[in-house]
Amino acid sequence: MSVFDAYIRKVAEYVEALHENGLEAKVFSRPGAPERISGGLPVRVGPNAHRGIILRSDTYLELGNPLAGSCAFVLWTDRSSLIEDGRITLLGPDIPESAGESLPFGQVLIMGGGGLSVKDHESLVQYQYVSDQIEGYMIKSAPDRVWSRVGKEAADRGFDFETLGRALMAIVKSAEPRVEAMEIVFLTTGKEVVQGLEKIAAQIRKIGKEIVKENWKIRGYDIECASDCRSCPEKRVCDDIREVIAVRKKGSKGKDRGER
Amino acid sequence: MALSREIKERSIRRYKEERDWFKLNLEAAELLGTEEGELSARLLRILLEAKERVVDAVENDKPFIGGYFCNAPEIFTSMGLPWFMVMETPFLAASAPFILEDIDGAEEMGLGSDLCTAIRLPIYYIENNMMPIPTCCLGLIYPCDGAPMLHQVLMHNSNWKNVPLYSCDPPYTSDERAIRYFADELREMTRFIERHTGAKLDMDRLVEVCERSNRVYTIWQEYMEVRKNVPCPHGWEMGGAQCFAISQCFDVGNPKSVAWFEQLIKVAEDRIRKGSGAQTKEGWREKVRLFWFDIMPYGWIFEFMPWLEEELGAVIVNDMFGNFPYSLIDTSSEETIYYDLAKRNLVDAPMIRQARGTAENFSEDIRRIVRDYKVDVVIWPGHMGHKDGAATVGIMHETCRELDVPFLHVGLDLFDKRYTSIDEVKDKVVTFLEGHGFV
Amino acid sequence: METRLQSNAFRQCAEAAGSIMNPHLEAWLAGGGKAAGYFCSTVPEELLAAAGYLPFRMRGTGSDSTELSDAFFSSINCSFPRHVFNQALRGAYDFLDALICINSCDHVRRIYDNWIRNVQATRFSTVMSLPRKVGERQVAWYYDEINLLRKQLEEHLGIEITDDAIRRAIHLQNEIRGLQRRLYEFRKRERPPITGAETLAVMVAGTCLPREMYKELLGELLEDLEEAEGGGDYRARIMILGSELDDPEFVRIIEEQGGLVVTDSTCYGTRLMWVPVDESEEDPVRALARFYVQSRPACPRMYGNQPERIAFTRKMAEEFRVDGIIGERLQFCDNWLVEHYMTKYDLREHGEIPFLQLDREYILSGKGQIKTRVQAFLETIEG
Repeated sequence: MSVFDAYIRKVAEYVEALHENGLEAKVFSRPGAPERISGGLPVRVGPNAHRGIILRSDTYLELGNPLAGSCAFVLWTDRSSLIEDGRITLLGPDIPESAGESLPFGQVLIMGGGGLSVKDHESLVQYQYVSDQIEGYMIKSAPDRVWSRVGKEAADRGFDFETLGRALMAIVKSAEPRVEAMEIVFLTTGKEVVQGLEKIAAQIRKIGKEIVKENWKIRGYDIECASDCRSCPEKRVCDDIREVIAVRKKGSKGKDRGER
Repeated sequence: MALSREIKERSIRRYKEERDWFKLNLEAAELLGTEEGELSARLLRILLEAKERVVDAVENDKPFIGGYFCNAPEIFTSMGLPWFMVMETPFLAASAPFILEDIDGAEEMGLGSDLCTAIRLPIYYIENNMMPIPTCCLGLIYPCDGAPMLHQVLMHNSNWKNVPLYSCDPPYTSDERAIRYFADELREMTRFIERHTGAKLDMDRLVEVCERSNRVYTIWQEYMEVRKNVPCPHGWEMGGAQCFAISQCFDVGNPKSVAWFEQLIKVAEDRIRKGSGAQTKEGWREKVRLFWFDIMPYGWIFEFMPWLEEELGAVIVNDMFGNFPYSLIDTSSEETIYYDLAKRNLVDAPMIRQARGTAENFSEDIRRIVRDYKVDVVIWPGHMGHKDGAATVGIMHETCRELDVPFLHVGLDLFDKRYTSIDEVKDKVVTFLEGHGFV
Repeated sequence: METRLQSNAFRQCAEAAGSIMNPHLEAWLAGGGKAAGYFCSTVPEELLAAAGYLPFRMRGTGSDSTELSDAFFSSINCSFPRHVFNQALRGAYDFLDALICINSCDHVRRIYDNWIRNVQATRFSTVMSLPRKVGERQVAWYYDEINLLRKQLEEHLGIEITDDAIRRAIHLQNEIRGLQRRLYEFRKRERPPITGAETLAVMVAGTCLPREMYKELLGELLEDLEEAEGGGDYRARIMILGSELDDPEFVRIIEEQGGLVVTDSTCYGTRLMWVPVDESEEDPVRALARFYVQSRPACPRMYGNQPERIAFTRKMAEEFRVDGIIGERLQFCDNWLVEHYMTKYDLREHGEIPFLQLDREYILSGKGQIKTRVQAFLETIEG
């Protein structure tokens, strides 16, 4: 059981509630291996598939401008059974019908795999920012949010949320084989709908910060020096010091931290 | 108490010298014949206009403000008040010919050699009546210990002690409570300015200035986005430093500034379309992409940065001043304006963002910039005044180790080339880049 | 430490000040008591005491190097946090259940960031946000901060920290402050029965011993001093003004040259205790907020009250008939560098007391240079 299991349920409940309130959901499904997921996509996917920039004049639409509403986070669990692999849920308008728009954007990536643990949290979170790996898709360099653009050329070729979802799944599963199942939720309707998701996101960020701090402690520090370890003649000295510090690290459970 | 004519004249003398030095810079920029030169010239013209407004205010007894960056300049700009930044010289004119002599003067006064030079210099100017004495002053008492001490000297000085001074109190946290508290401090600041200058805040005018400022921040962000391109469309001559100067240090909400930013992004976008990068000497190409995680070395920028690019092919693709959230001001009500100004000036602004509160932003910024800008090397210059950052080197180094990106900590004074000589800095950089096979 | 004071109470204080762990702290922990470390004299230790903790002011006593903490700090950082953090990495602070940091200065505030990433043994850690200004809005901000800490500690410890418990802790600490002021009264004498170095040891002990017990020891010491012979073999009466100073050895070097330290404005000295917390205030947390932000003698880290600070310095110098002031400063401290610059100007402007600025490292080095400079200063005073 992972720390985020309850939040996976909360997201599902939130989506269900929106649906019950009359918001129509589009659902796509493409489970399985990365090659199967990305097969037939209208854009290239993978490392350096894109140069990372879409200029303003080449933009088809924008997602997640803070003024329109923006919320994104990653959930993971070691119980893949909680996830319906390959499922992509979209609530709100799709890309082809939104030329020139600046849509609110909520994005939740949910990953499952028996081998996943808190040690993987930081790297899993990074998969939200795949700016140069999806042709025709750019993510702006903004802290704590996904604020992105779809290019005109990609849109002309049929880039939609199924494309984006499948591309993200293929990227994650290729780079992290321990992710056995993955599900994605996109919200593009109404600032208040995205802000509703933010309530869950705030909790996720708090937990995430705690995990990051704990991971810092586990891996320890390198020592200050003016060069890089790989080429430094003092590496052995540093290693000794790291070892001393590591010895000082006693396992300690149940720590509290004043929220800051 | 009115200041004597002699004191007033002396107080403006150095300011005029600085203005004249900028005029020479303007002439040089106009002769460059490059797009960077043209942008620099336009920026200098805006700066010179701001300086002339201050000179006029001093000479003709009009109200003006001694201000600071991160004091929500939108507020006093909308009130039509000329202003200058108390720390203006180290930030804008650190390459001026008189700087080293002034640094020595500060040391001789008893300000030692380990206090940030950007703090020592204004103290020296205040204590020697070499800074315009404003109608009232707005201090900045974060993000470092030096800033509040500078303003306490200001209160202590015999010429300045009758100048009303207000500083917003900065919480250490960045949550809703902290932003609301700081917004109240900004409201108090507005009342203070009204009380001491006779100017009145007109909300419609504030909205207008904030909307122009929003336009500037929107383009600035767009500009930093296009700097992600390989090759980077601009090198050291244009970037976060200039954008920060024109949006926080001497100007805000001016149509000419908006036009400057529009020209900036146009040049950068054109270069990306053409596939060309920073334009430097012929045959040059970008080989190494650097994240310079601090202010630029203003005191010796011309002796170091061209060398870095032309000799090593090393381009600074982002720096501390080109890296922040660029949050916009919601102008729908007075409440939202003050809240968003508080957020921008307490939480978001560059350098403030890293140095004021806990250290998360040091590691998170490195992680994001390295990822998004395809950074090859992170350089923490280790400015002698940035002591909180100096106590964060372990965190930064560890972040880089984890990202597998080389991290160089130099140790220097951004304003004084004698602290660590330029040759020593160059030697460290070359050795490091060579060691990693970049050059 | 070397002393001619015949006092068992003093001996126990000196022992406590001379190391991080002391027998009384050890006994406290062995009996199931918990300790909470805190940085800077602006953390309301009364709240920690009300939570049942033994409040322990963080020091680097006993450190002889910074070989471990150099991984985290740079050469332009103050040696105080570097030595304290080195001690923490060596495990000297593993006995702490909690650590309360504060944004006191650029160097010390970063201990929090490094601590939470690297020291596993501490079960609760937080950083408080102390305002810079000293107005009513700032008192209100710090009031909320203290209440926030109170809530966090209640959750961590599973207890309620009642107003009554806080009032009792304030009362006890005020009693201690009163006794400490009486201790300082002895130093006004022509032949003070206690030296500056000895006094500092007693003051440091007040930040690391169980407080009830410390109060008893102080009482005993005051009785011993009534009967003690004072020393009159000094060249000048000196006041120390400055930053974090917990090492009696530094004071002893000054006194060895003939400069008897009779008072101070430091955060282990008068700034801790010259005024009490207002016990008549209905809300004890508000009383603490007002005390720490507004009413106690401030250090230059607080903004805008330099006139009050120099007035306090003058008042101390006058009351204790001081011949010269030594402004000590830990190297790389911006706050005290500029404060001493202004103090020097103020004193010189009015042709008042001679002033010497003396930079030092947290763990004393360059003793010879300190001696030489103090000797020269004393000669200047003697004219």
